[in-house]
Amino acid sequence: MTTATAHRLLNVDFCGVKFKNPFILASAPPTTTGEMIMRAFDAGWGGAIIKTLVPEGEPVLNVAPRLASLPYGKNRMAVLQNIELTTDRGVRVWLKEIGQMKKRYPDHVVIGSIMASGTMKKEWQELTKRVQGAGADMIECNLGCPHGMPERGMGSVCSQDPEITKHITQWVKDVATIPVMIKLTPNITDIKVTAKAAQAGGADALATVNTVAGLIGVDLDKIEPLPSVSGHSTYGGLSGPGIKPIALRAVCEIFKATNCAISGIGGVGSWQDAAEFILVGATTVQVCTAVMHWGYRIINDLCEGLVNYMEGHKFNSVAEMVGLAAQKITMHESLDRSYRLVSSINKDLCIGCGLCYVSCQDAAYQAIKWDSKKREPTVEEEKCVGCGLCSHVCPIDYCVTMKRSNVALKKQH
Amino acid sequence: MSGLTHSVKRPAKERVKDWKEIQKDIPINLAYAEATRCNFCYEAPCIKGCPAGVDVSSFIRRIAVGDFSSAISIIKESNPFAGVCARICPAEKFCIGECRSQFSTSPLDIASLQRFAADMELLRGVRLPEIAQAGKGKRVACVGAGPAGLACAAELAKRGYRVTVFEQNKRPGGMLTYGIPSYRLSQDIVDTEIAQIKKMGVAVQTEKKITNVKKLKAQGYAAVFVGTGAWKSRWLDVPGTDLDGVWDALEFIDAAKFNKTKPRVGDTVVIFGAGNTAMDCAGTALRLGAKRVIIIYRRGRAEMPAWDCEVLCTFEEGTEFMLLTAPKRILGKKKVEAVECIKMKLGPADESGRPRPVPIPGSEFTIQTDTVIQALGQETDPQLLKEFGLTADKRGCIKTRADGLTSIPGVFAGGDAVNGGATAVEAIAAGRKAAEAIDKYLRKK
Ligand SMILES: Cc1cc2nc3c(=O)[nH]c(=O)nc-3n(C[C@H](O)[C@H](O)[C@H](O)COP(=O)(O)OP(=O)(O)OC[C@H]3O[C@@H](n4cnc5c(N)ncnc54)[C@H](O)[C@@H]3O)c2cc1C
Ligand SMILES: Cc1cc2nc3c(=O)[nH]c(=O)nc-3n(C[C@H](O)[C@H](O)[C@H](O)COP(=O)(O)O)c2cc1C
Ligand code: SF4
Repeated sequence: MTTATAHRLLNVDFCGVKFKNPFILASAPPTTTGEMIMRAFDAGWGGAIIKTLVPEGEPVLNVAPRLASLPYGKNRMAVLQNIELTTDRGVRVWLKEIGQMKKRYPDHVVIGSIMASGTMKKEWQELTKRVQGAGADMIECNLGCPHGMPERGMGSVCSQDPEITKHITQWVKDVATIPVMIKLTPNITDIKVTAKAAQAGGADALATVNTVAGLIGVDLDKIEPLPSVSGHSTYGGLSGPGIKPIALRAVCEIFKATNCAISGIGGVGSWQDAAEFILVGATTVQVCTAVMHWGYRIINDLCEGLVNYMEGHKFNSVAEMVGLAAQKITMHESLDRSYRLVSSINKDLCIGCGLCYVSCQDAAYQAIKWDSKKREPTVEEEKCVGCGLCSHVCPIDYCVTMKRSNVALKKQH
Repeated sequence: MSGLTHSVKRPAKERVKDWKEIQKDIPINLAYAEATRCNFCYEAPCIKGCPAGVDVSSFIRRIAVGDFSSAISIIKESNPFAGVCARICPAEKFCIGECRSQFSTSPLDIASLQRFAADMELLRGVRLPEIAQAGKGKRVACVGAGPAGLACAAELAKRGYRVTVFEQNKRPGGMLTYGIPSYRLSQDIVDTEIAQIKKMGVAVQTEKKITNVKKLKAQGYAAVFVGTGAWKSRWLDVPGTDLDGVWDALEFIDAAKFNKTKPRVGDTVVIFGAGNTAMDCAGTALRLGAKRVIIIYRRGRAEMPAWDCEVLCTFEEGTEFMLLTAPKRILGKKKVEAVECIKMKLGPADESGRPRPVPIPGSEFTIQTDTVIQALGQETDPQLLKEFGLTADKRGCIKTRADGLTSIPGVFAGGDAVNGGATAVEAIAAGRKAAEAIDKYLRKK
């Protein structure tokens, strides 16, 4: 196991708040109660964002089922859809629990998540004051939930409009004495616009993504959309491994467009995922679906894997890593056209399945020859454009790779 | 035998020609494919299946998520002989036997995954565990550098004690070195893992036979661990055992492993016994050039004490099994020439609960042979217990409490010397448990 000294590499400073590691439980089912959050702290999580609070008097009536998943391969939840509302536990209960958590876990970060509509100035400010009064270290404004709440002017409709995003941020900042983070929806054409609006409103940090709007599937026997609540459904929010590329792009875009600290969210389940979010601009990383799948215990894999990675790359802190890959995102026009690659098949590893051949034949440039008797593929380098498809379809790790080449590409007509 | 083992085992015809390990290295893609089959069960039963308590499901997950250095650290947390056990554990009886995937597809090949993690560490460089504040001042002696003694020493070193291991033999490792042939466990692996234990600060003094444990305490060792194993070979006293060409199993394996001129076995080798030691002698004899190797056992297949995987390996390599057959005499002038045997049948159960073999009168026959190996297993040496002044249990093993404390205060014991001869991993578990008890005992003092 990695040593305690090594684990110090994971310490982060996020808008002045100290985290022992960058891993935060996102506002979601894993943070349904204070008791659960404290168990997560015992397991090693650096911080937690309570399940979103709405103003007292706003009804929160959940349905069953509220989850549906898209299994893919061995993964039972490659994408998860939820139509869950905000917390159905009272404001007062939560305020008490925030106090208890901070008393028992002063070194762990407790973040209050709050939500109201774009016209409820008083409610935003009251929730802010009450949550910070209870002892929370930070506030996250949930402007991103795409189901249910938008019907009442709350959630994603707020961060789909830069003007609303800005004035909510200002209202909250006007009364906040602790750092304020704005959680943005990815369900928008250009997330840079709302990110800049939040920054203009005074946001200390940005968090993205909240769930991606979607419809997970249809029950073909009953002819009902999923998740089917007694025959009917509603569009929901997608999370889990399948949304990671969408989330990475969102984080990278707002990192390059603003100066705010960023909390990256969306499909994080492994230390590699976390490292990627950090390298495109996140300082902290939030996790929901992976914890719903495997439990709080995955924090050990996340921390130790990240420490080992950091040691391997000689990074002295998470801060040093933030955004290193984001800097390498450029215009398509600027990419190097002289960089020539061709496919290379390792004959020792090849099991003769022929998938590379089929894919090149039917979806690329017919640059792989196939010996049916020997079941052996061979690359014709002068025909290979280096697209990389064969290396992705090959079922054997490290068998088909892309290598540099001097062989000129023969023009096909 | 579970999934992976099959695709990484060398074919019998090829492997009997050399002393290289039967199992090939595990390629990264196979390890990954196997690791990603893991369900990551809640309260993972594989962990309970491992006598040493290795956190199996966590280390497999680390392989699945591509963090190989954490994988091996997790294993070594509970077992300093990760590479050794990956090769020789009867894992089907332990972790693999508990794997829930056996109820859907097939159990994970946990042993191969452990081997992969251990081999990766050798390739990428070893990371030693964190040592508690070195030298709490107290010194502890371990008698015997087998897996029990060394595991105890490693655990005590981690907890900050200064440990010296005394070993009577020239090389450390106990039965790992002198009992298990190199085609099952390369000596390099044993030596490397012992070197890692030494790097943790454990001193190993070889060719130092201990005859008196109380004297060790007088020399300033605050506590003593006795891990002296079970080295007394059982011997079938039939006429002719003094002829040239009759070997004791352990001496035979030792000579084949370490002597400059390998033992000459001739064309035919007859082995008495059907335990793991007998299987190892058969494989060794084949690799020494014997053309025909015959295992003689007085009961049937179901009663053979060797593990199924060992029997299968031996069978694959071409050893003949003469079951329900007992040797009566070894014939020859100066050298072994033949063995006279008699056929047996199974009668009602004896004290051991197994059917008693009964000779069939008039069924005698002889087998021409050049070598005879006595491989009936080993037991704890009663002489040693007497010398040490330790109380014995009914079977003649050292009597201890559950935590390893013997009849002498401050003296603990574990491994084959206590259980009468079992497995390396159980010896390791006992050594570690005793280390914990020693730590508790010395803190109180
Ligand atoms: C042929 C054979 C094959 C086996 N195969 C397997 C296998 O595949 N898998 C498996 O798990 N187990 C196997 N075992 C069993 C396994 O090797 C033992 O269970 C294990 O080594 C026991 O460890 P130990 O430390 O208790 O004793 P040992 O390994 O026997 O070590 C005891 C040590 O104490 C030393 N010693 C004894 N008396 C003294 C003294 N007075 N002073 C100083 N030193 C002393 C001995 O020289 C020896 O080095 C096999 C055993 C044999 C014989
Ligand atoms: C069942 C469920 C309920 C959620 N509830 C909330 C919520 O109350 N407030 C909020 O800000 N986000 C909520 N989210 C969104 C998550 O916090 C997170 O942004 C999203 O799931 C993406 O991260 P992931 O891929 O790690 O799950 C919820 C997600 C799920 C799956
Ligand atoms: S996880 Fe299953 S048992 Fe638990 S609340 Fe949901 S439906 Fe019920």
